[in-house]
Order: sequence, then structure tokens, then C-alpha cells
Amino acid sequence: MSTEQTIKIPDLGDVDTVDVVEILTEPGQSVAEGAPLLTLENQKTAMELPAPVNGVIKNILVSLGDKVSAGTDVVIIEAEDAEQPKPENTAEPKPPEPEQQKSASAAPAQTAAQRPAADTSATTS
Amino acid sequence: MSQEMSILNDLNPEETTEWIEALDAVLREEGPERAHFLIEQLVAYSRQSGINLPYKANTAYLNTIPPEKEAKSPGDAEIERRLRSYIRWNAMAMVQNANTRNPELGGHIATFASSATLYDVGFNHFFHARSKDHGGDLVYFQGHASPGIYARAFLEGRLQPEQLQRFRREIGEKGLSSYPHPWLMPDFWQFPTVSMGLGPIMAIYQARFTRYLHNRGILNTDKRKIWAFLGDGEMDEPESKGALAMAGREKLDNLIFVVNCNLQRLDGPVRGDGKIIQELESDFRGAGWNVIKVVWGSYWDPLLARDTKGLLRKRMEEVVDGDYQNYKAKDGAYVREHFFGAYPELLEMVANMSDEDIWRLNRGGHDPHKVYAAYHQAMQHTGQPTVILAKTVKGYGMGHAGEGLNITHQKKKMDIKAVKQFRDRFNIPLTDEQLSEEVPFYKPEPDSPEMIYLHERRKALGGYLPVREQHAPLLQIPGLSLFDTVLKGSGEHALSTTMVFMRILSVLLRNQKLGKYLVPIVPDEARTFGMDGLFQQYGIYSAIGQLFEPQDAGQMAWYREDIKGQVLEEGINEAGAVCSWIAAATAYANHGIQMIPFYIYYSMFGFQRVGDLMWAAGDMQARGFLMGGTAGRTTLAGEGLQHQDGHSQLLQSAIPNCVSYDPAYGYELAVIIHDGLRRMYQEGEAVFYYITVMNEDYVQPAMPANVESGILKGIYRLNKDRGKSQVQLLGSGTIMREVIAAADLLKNEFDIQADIWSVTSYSELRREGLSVERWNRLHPTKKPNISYVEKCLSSTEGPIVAASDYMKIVADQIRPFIHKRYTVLGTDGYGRSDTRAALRDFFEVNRFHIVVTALKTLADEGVITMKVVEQAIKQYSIDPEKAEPTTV
Repeated sequence: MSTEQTIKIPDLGDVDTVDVVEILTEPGQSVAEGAPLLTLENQKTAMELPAPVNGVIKNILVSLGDKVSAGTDVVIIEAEDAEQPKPENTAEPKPPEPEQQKSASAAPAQTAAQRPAADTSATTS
Repeated sequence: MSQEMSILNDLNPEETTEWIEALDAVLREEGPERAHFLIEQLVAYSRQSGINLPYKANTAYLNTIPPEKEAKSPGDAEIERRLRSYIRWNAMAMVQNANTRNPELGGHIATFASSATLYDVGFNHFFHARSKDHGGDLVYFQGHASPGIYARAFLEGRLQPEQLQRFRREIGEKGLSSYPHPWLMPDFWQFPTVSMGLGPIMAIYQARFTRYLHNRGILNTDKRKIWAFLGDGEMDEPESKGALAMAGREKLDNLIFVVNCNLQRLDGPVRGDGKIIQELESDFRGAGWNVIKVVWGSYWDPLLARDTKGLLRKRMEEVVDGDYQNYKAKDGAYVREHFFGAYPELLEMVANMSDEDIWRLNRGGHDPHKVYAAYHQAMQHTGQPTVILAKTVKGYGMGHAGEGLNITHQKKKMDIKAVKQFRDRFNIPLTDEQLSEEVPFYKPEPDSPEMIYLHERRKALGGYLPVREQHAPLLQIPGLSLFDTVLKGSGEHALSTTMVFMRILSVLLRNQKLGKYLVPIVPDEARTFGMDGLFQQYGIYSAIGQLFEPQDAGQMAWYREDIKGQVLEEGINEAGAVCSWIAAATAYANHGIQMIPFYIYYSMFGFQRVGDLMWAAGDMQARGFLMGGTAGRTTLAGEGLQHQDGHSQLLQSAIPNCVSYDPAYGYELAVIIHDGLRRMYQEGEAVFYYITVMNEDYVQPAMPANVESGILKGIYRLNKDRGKSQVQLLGSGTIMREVIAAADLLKNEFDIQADIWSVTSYSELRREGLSVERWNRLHPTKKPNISYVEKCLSSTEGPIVAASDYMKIVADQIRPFIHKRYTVLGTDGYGRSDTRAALRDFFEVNRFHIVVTALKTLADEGVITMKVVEQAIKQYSIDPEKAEPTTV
């Protein structure tokens, strides 16, 4: 069973609206939790909207140049079951490339920091 | 006062004795750990009960490690002593010979003389080179001790006698640089340390960056230590102590400071009337460091063991550094009289010792056993950085030529008598006949036990040090289309080049291949630069993660800290931030991996505030980007005199390998950063970039065709059509838009056609121009080359006017290559608060001043009359008697 979620723009702090300046994903794409989906920008700041969960993008509800604000529905994602392995396409740093391997082989294990929870409303499909 | 007195006065000595006896029993029966525990309990209980017990950070003026707790060196002390003596000798000879031949060269004998043992123990037993199973320790050698480091490399066979003979003679044949300079000896030195204070702060941030690499999972940096060798006089530099608390807070137990406390600075005692070791002990301990004092050598141990009444300890406490220094400039009889003579019991204690025996009572930093024990403990210590405070004698072994003398730091030559004494003191197998004005170097035969030992020790520690290796794999930089979102312009959307930079940074951070190598660094101005969006997505590096719920949790750009965080948010701390940048920008040489640091800061607080560190970065061949934010004297507007930068684009030009740009448009910025990535990380060029970005919002145009090369060389023509232009207008940065407006005014109101040029870098144009001019000068009969800027402007019509948001001298840099009338507008003078429009009027860089200047130059050439100029001045309400901006 998987769950479809509508990703909304979270609380933007003291910013009212932001422009959608980049769309970094497309329907059908598998994304990992934390992977950037949209770049949002105003004159003061730029930020990326991360995927709240591992899943597959079902639909993108905004277009380039749209103005959005907190609560705007922007992306529909089909959340993956928790047991399933994470997809590869992520914004997480990958393990070091082979040329650095010798010194990186024992890189420390860290607990993954909690990703910010984007404001989502879940519906069961 | 009265309360203090009551604390210090013993109101009930009998009771005091009882308490002390009780403690004494614990010490005897249960040992010092138990005694320590009980005291801590008493202190804690006292505090809970409301007694204000201020923390006292000092311990007794004794070695931190008692003799019975000292780790014993596994080395052969006798062979090590002989090797150390040869190194001492060759270090002295190198300076001596250089100055015999050329007295102007200078050099220092006394610093290494005082620290030879400190280095030697490290080299024989601790400093690990980069090897198969070890990433390599990073050692910051004290700059003035460089002769000693060369002398060891000579014994190791890594430097040849010819090189030692060319100490401080670097031009022509291969010589040795005065101090550690990676620029001059790129295969040898890693860290320039001789500008006092830069070594310690760079070492702290290096240790932190090493942890950052580890915590982010980029490199395993376990086992690696950062050693920094410093002087006690050097510790007076604010940079030396300014970052101590950070090292303590971040628990950098990979960091070891060794402060060579020879009690002397250049002019005299460091703390003649006090004790530098005690002062530093409390400073470091207060900052959370593990402090190991190495005050007394082993010869003192039996005396201290017999000091049952504590009189010797009392005497050690009451003597001040000025006297300690003086003792070592005198002799044993003097020490007997002035040190031990203070109390009859102490005189009695040394009655059986000869004056020579008393003279032999050594300082801790000259005792390899004590030093070994201290290093050993420092290596084992966890949870804190360690500082070793080692008491030494400046000019140790120089005798009457320098030992303990106030003049010793400047001593670059000893007389022949002192040289012979030095030889005898350290048993150098050279005869009187072999010693002339020229002092021969001494190197034992390759199969001698000393040489075999020397090589064996280094082999066991992975190889030789120092060595600077450039083995980091080069990166493949994608094509310029990487920045397509920027190149296509912002449409109708107005945004600043700072925000364009943020877009570029985001693209790079997201890039699968490059992203992880990026190191965004900011000194508590992320929100100013619109970088706060990075916090949630990439995280702020925090050595302990995040223990609190941030106030803005739940918001999109929340303040997220993470042990794997990528952003270095350094607090209000430009010196530290630039040290982080340096560590990242030289990771290719010191960590074997190319990191891509972007340090963004208020441009005013860059070269002006931490210029010496940026100079050091150049010396280290840093590869990275310095982004001068909120740049431009009239662009920052309201912030006023201290913030408005009109000269960083001049200051940067002092650093030969700093490539600088003042772009006007987003696409220029994208082209420049892209080429910077290519040059530094794909081609491995020894340059770094300084780019100014501004906070004025305007529409960013799409990139025209065929301008990349001009953007990178420093100038290109902006107007597409080239009609019959009569004047050439040069603009840069935000002032570009005033130049364009001026061209419109000239056309519409005076029917004068202007060409518009975007100058992205006056300093790059100047460098190329100077290079061409020099070549032509030295090749008088060859066909002369023409500089790029001359090529661009020589075939144009009419005079040239330039305007920028920087001092006039910035645009003046290209004057020698322009054989035409060239007038420059700029923002000389102190900034002040007002609107951009008012400031540009005040500094005379707005469109109207540009028009008037263009008209005046045309009138000077006889194209129009002066009347037209006068009319324009009136028309634009310019007050001709207005005060000069530099005078008000």
C-alpha cells in the first residue's frame, strides 16, 4: 500500500510569496526524502523545497514563474512504503569516488539528521 | 577588600592543619585520584551551599605530569642526542655562513636553538607522514625555526649541501626560503607561519576542517593530528588566542599546540614581571584545553623529591620570568646565589652540587624525556585539544653569543670562540682547523648508527616531513550550460547579483558530481546574502548535531544544524571564517582531495580586515572563491562609512595569484565562476578568485553571443550595433546601469553615439597589459605584441570614459595601455548613509556625471564646444562648486 501526499509550501517565515524559479523533478521520477523538488526565490532569499518522503512524483501543480505562498499545493508524491529501499537518485552526498577511497573507506557512520517535514496532507490511495 | 583579606588570612591555623593532614592521609593511602575526587566534591558542595568559589585555572609551577607517571621513550636517547646536536650545528652553520658571505641576509639562530628538542622528539616518535594507512599529520612549524627543519631534511638527504649554502638566496639557483613559504618551496612547506599569530588560528581551523571532512563522510581523518609550534611571544597576537575557545568547544582532540616558552620576545622578556607559562595555562584551561606544563627537566626531579617542606616549590613560584631568563644568561654560581640563596635550606640542599651541576639543572623543554612524556599524553588525551607549555632557553647552546640574552633573537652570527664552544657543548666531530669563517656542515656517514636510526624512525612513521604533495585528483567540470538558468536571464524579474550567485551555488550544491565538494562559508551574514535557504537543505555543520528545537522549526528555511551539515556558519568571525576557507582551499595539497570553498562576506571586511590571511592563502596556492558581498561604495547605500566598500577591488590586486572580477550581470558571474572552476579544479592552476556581488535588484539580461572570452579577459562590448560612435563608455558592477543610462542621455539629448563596454576586471586587464609591455621591452627588435585592452579600444572612435563603484585608481589601472584621452570616475572618499541615487550623485558616478564627463572629453578634443558642457552641468543641476567627495 502506498500513500499519495500533496506537498504544500511550508511556512515561509517572514516571506509572503516566492517565485518558482526551477522545477527540479518531473512526474514519474523516484525521489529520496530530502531531494530538492523546486527552487523558490524572492529578492531576499532562495530555497529548495525538499521531498518530505521517499516516493514517486505523480504530478507537479505549479509552473515556472508561478508565485506561491505558504499552503499552496505544489507537488503530488506517492510515498513509498517505509520498508522499501531508498532510491538512488538523491541529493545526499554519495560515498567518495574511487580515487579517494583509500582514506575514505572508514568514514564514520552518522545518524541521518532529521529532515524538515514539509507541510503535507496525506490521502490514502 | 576585607572579604578578600579574610579569605587569604588563616584565622585558625590549627583547624587548617587538621584538614591538610586529613587530605594528606588520603593522598598517602588512596592516591591522588581519590584526593582529587574528594576536593571536587567539596568544591561542588560548597557551590551548592551558596559559597561563591571562583574558578582558579592555575596549577603549581611544576610539570603537569609527575615523574612517576611519565611515559618512557622507547627511543635510543644517546643516538637521538647526537642527531639533535648535528641538526643544531647545521642549523647554526646555515645562518652563520649565509651572513658571513652576505651580512644583509639575516636569519635566526636562537629560536631553533631553544626548540630543537621539541621538534626532535616529534620527528623521532610522533609526527606521522601521509602513508598507506594514515592520512598524515599536519605540522605547523614555527617560522623562525626554519633553519632547524632544513638541517634535519639535509641529514635525511632531502636537501643538498648546495641548498643549505643558499639559505635565503632563492634567486637563480635553488635556494631555501627564509621561512616556510609553500609558494617558494611548493614540494616542501605546507603552511606559512611566520606572520605571527596566523599559524595558531590556521591550525585551529585546520583541525576543525579535518573533523568536518570526517563527519561529512568525505575522508577518514582518524589518527591524524594537527601540530602547531608557536612562540610564547607570538601568543600576544590576538589571532593566536582568538579562536582557542572554538577549539575547546568543538573538542578538537586532534589538535596539539606546543608553545615554546623561552620567555623572550624580540626586544626582551615576554613577561619579565610574571610567568608566561602560568598566564597561558589559565588562558588555555579557561578555553577548555588540556594543559600540559613541561617546566622542569629531569635533573630537578631529585631536588623536588627532597623538597619535603615545599621551600623549593615556593622559590619556583616566587621567581619571575625576567629572573629565570637572567639565570640562563649567567652561570651556576649565579643561580646558586640568586635562586637557591634566597633560603638557607635551599643552599643546604645544593651544597653538594658543583656550580656545573647547578648549571645542568635543565628546563623541561630541553629534556627529551619530559617532552616525550608530554607528547605521549597529548596523543592519548581525548575530548579536548592539548597545549604543551614547554619552558626553554632562547639561544640554548649559544653561550656568551646569545644564550638568554635580550639581543639573541636578532643574532645571525656568532664569533669563532662561541662557535667552538657550541661545537664542544654538542660534541660535533670537527677540529679547530676545520672551523674558519665558513662553518662546515656535518653529516655522519650513511652507514653510521645515527643515520640508520634517523631513517628507521621516519620509516616507522610513514616517511619524511614536511612535504607538500599535490596528489588530489582533478575534477571534471561540466560545460557552461550547467548555469543555463542564469545565462537565460531573469526575464522581467529584478534580482541582485547576490541572488544570482545563490542560484549558481544551488546548482553546484545539487550537482551529483561536484556538490559534495562544495564548502559554503559565511561569517554570520547568511540572511544578508539570502543564503538562509541553504540551512534546511544542506545543514549547518555542528560537531554535536542539534540539541535544541530551533525557534523557526516548521518553517521552510529553518535553522537546521547537523553533524553532516555542509554550511560553515562561523559566527561574527572573519578571521576564523577565512581560515576555514584556507583549509578547504588547500585541501588538495594537505588532504589529497579538492574541495570547492565559497566564502561569502561583507566585502569591506575582507582584504581590509583579514588581508594578511588572504596573503597567506596566496602563498599556500589556495584554490577557491572569495565572494565579496554587498559590494560597491554607493550600492550598499544605508550602511555608511564602515561598510561601503570602494577599494577591495584595489586591495586584491596586491596578491599576484588572486584573480578578481566586478561583474555587472548574472551571466558574467556565471561565466566567471564556471571558468574559475575549470581553471582551479580541472586544470589545477594555482589561483584563487575574488568576485564582488551586489545587493541592488535589477533585471538580469540573457547572455549575448560570443562574449565569454571578453568577460574572462576583462572587457567586452555590450552594445550590439556599432554605429558611428563618438565616445567609449566603460562600466562595471552596478554602475554599468548608470553607464547605459548615460549613453541613452547622450544619444537622446546631445545626439552623441556611444559604445558601451562592460569591464569585468581592471586588474586582469592590467596584468595582461603589463605582461605584454614587459615582453615588448625585453624583445625590442621583435614585432611588438598588443595587449587585449588596447586591441579592444585602440580602433574605437573618440575619447574614453570609465565609471565604477570603486576608487578611481581601479579603473586607472589600464591607463598605460590606452593611447587616447581617458577619464575615470570612481568613489574615492569615505562612504556615508543615503540612498543609492544620492550617493551616486555625491561620488559623481551617476549617469549625469558620466554624461558631463563624456561631453567634457569631447570638448577637450574639439568635437563640441565647452559651452555644451557648461549647459549640461546646469541642465543636470550639478553644483560646480560642490565639495570634493574626498574632503568631506
